[in-house]
Amino acid sequence: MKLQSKVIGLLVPIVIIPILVLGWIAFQKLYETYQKENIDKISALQGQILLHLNKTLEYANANIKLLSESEALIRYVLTDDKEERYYLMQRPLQRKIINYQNAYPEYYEIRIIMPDGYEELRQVNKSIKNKVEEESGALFFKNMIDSKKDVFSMVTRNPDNNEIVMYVGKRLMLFNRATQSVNTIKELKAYVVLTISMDFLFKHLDETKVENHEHLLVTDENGKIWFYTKGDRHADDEHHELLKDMVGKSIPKDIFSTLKTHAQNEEIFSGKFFNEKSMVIGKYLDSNMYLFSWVPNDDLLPESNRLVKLVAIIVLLTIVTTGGLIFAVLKVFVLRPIEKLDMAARKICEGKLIDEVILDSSDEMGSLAKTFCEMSANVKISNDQARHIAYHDNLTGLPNRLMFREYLEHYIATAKRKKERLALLFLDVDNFKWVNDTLGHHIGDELLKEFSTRLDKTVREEDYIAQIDSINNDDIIARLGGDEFIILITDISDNFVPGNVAERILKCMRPTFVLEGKEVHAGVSIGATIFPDDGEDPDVLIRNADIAMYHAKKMGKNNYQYFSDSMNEAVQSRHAMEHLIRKAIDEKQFELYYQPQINVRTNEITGVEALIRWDAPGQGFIPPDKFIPIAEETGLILQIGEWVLDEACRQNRVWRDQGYENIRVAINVSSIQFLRQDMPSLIKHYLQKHTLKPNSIEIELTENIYMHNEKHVTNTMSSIRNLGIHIALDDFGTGYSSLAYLRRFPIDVLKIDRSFINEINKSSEGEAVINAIIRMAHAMNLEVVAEGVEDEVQLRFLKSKGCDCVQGYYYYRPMPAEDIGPLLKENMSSQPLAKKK
Amino acid sequence: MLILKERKKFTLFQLIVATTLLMVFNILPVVAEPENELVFLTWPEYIDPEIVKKFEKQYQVKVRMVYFETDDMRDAMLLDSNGKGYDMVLIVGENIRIYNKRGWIAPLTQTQVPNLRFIGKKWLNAFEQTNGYAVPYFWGTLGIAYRKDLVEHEVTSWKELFIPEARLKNKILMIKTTDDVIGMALKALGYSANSTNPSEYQHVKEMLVKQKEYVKDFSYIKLTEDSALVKGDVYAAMVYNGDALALKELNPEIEFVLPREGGGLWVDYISVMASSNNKELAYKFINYINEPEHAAQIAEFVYFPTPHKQAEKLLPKEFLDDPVIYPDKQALQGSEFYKPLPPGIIKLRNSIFTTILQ
Repeated sequence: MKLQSKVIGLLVPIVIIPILVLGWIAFQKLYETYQKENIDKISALQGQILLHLNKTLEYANANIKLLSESEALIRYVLTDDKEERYYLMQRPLQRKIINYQNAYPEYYEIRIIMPDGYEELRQVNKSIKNKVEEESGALFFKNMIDSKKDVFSMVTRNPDNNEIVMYVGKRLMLFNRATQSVNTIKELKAYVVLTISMDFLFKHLDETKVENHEHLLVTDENGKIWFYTKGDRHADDEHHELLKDMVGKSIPKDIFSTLKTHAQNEEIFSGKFFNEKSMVIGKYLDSNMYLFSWVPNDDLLPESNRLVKLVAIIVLLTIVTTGGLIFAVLKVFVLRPIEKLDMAARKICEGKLIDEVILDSSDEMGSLAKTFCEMSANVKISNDQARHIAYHDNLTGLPNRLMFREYLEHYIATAKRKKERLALLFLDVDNFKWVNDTLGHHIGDELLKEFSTRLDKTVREEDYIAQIDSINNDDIIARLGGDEFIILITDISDNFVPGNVAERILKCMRPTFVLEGKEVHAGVSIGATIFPDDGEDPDVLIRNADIAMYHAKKMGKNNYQYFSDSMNEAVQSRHAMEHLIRKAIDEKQFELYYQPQINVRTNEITGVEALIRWDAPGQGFIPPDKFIPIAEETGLILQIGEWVLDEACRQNRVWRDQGYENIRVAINVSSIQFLRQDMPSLIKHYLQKHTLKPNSIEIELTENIYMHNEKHVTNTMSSIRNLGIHIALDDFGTGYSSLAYLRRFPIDVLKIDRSFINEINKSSEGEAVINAIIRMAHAMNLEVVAEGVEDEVQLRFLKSKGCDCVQGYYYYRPMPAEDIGPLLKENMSSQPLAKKK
Repeated sequence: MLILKERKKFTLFQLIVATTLLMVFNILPVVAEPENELVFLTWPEYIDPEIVKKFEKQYQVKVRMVYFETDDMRDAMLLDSNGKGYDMVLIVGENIRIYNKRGWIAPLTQTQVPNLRFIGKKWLNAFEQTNGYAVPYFWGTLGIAYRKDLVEHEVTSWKELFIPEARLKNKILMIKTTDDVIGMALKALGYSANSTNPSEYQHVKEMLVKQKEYVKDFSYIKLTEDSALVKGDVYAAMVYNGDALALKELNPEIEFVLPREGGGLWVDYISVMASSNNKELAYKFINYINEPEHAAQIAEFVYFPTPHKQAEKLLPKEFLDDPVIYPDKQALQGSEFYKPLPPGIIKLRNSIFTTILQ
């Protein structure tokens, strides 16, 4: 069972049961209150009715007294003669009474009744037939005679119209003025009787019915119902057929006497009343009337149902809101945090670091969550440490064999995909066993530590001499165990890179290691393999590197060997070449030849290109493409380049001194030199040295210059141009020929590579390319020079396409400076150039 | 409700106070009356003022007229003052016996009023106890005066007044006298004006209840210029014959008819009040107006037939021939004097009339 279900299971009894109990109690209380209110209301109503009735009586008493004292009435009753009464006195008296009735219409009948019961005068304000003029037999009259009261009132049925009325009667006790003296006692002369319609009361009762649902009954003192009004709740007419024609019926004697007793004691009757379980509240009204408010229990059903509904709704709402609230609170403060902590614990199990805040609360949960975070961090640190231990060498801190294997696999896969080359260097410290055995293991360990430090520093050192030699940060140095190390060099540009790195390592290990005050010499034997040449599998590559290392050991230790023999040979020849170059520089074996450049339109020689030439003693002529790359790699190019600049300027000066003022000498500058030296200053220096104007020389750069720091290159080129020197782009089309480069780099001359010129008359595509290059260059305001023009067809084609200058065997081969002089002389004499060939 | 009641009560209280005050005031003039003044309770416009002036001059006395509007009202006035405060009263014949019973009127014989000898015996004895207590003044009939221009046809029957046509709604004026209204109503239904049959009265009551909405007022018509009949505010009215002629003087469109069922016959008498302190002068006044020339002059003034034989002789022929004043025998045939009735009937008549008046 989930915690959530358990919580819900708990909430049900805890929340719902008390609320239900409360609801039941509330209902009971409300119903009680309702009933009490009902009773109070009924009592109030009854009191009001009684008050109303009493007021009416009170007024009637007062009014009947006033009427009795009226002169016209007294005169009338004191007159014995009927004729006099009727002829003379009745009419004025009647008018008086009419005036009374106009003021009090509810006294709808005012009568003068003689002591013998004869109805002497009767004034009614509504049309009621007078059944009898003899009242002596009437109930009221009999009661009035018997009553000792001066003013007597009674409610009964008016025999004339069967209406329930209240009679108020007063004796007229008078002295007879004419015949009796003052001393005689008063004599009963007549009765004045008011008949008051009970409509006022019944109407009042009817009106109260509108807002009350009890039935109201008014009965006489014998339980005979005079008035009945049905409660507004009593809708079930069918069931209460017997309630029809209630007026005139009598309440059963036994019940009525009980009711009467209750009314006198101001108690509430509960029990069967007209066959219904009911509550009856009775009140004795004066004038022998009883008022009963009858509330059948069934009539309270709608109200009780309403209360049940109300309470049910409140209970339901309370349950829903309270339950929901408690659940929500639990969910927010307990369940959700627990879920989150659970997830966090899972993460910790999986070994992931929890770096975000799990819970942002200050309670126990929050503190628990913080502990979780700390725990996670600790686990992470432990993990990392374990991992480090597993993957690294304890002594040196370098990755171990295990880790290296993983890296290697990874990089081989990457290299395969990217078609890159990798190199492995397998290192073994020479004579380590001897150091261990003689100086102790701890010295051996110190040696290894120092060794790895130097190794790391050397390998990561940026090599500015040749970009291609630089080691990427991806490169890995690892200790395989004992005195064996291995280095992975990623993305090598050529196969000589590992050799160069190996040489630097050898060099850095040459200084003495000082270990605890003892000087130790430690050489290193290095074996190199290249992916994919020497194997495509990590294990094969490592094994082959190991083999190559053993080879190096055999070769006398403290050297490096490639796994492949051809590479070893190549390295050998490079070393030999380097040695020759150094010698050539020292012995000034280089010389400059010049090849003229001819303006196609004028056929004049506009300039010459300075080309280096090396005739090594015992080696013969060595072409530049054989020694320049090695010179560049070794940095010797800087010396060579500077000599070329100096020499070309010197020769230029010579020609100028000879009078050939217009000659322009194009000088090739290596990218390495261009990048590493301050070329503008250098050029400026040599121009000044030989007192040359800037326009007397031209600098030629190759396209690979673009591979380097663009901003630096552009700035340098601009500085040179600002001196007034033209820059030509050599060998255009062989490398990174790109329009974008052309536009970005400030150049003046474009030299089309000889390989394109060779295509002329051989492939239309080649011709189209030349055509495009010329058009493009012209569009960019560049001068176009075609290199390697060897025949007339080529010349003609170039001419037709608008090429500016040509250079090539068709006109002149490169030649020593002394041969150029005559040509220039010829040129100056404006003779058409003869074909030298 | 409570407040309303109290207010009503107060109103009633005021009413009673006012009534009491009225009674007191009615008594006051009796106390303050000077010796040389005669108070005569009579109908308005019922005597030639010229004659009165002459009398006042001759006897150095002031004759103060107090008018009543109807016979019933006179009864009430006399009741309220218990027959006091007046020297002479004009009484309709059938009331004299009752007044005498109350002891209100003084004996009146040829000794006190010598000119009594000119009065016809027939009129002297027309009602019980008139002879010896009262002098007949005028007799007449009760009929209908109507505006022939407004009613637009000749009226011949009481029915036209009691069961009127629609146009007469609120255009009828009835006399506020029980006997006149009940009596003529009986005649309209073909009964005797002195009926003693209660069931006949029941019919009368029903008829009068229905008639009520046609009746503008119960009072007696004014005989002046602003009379409702003269102005046309009412179209028909119960009128004593002489008054109809007086009205005709004011508007010739007024016609009088003694309906074919016959009308009420009445005789007015003058009596001297028993309570009068000036009886001798009162007798002299009665005697004075019964001088034949005076009586004739008054008759011509009021247009009523006189019971004075000598005066009759002095009256012009056209007066004597006027059928309004002197109805012919045929017209008189159905007419009745009001006779004394049993108390129960009087009570019934009173009851009906008050019901109608309410």
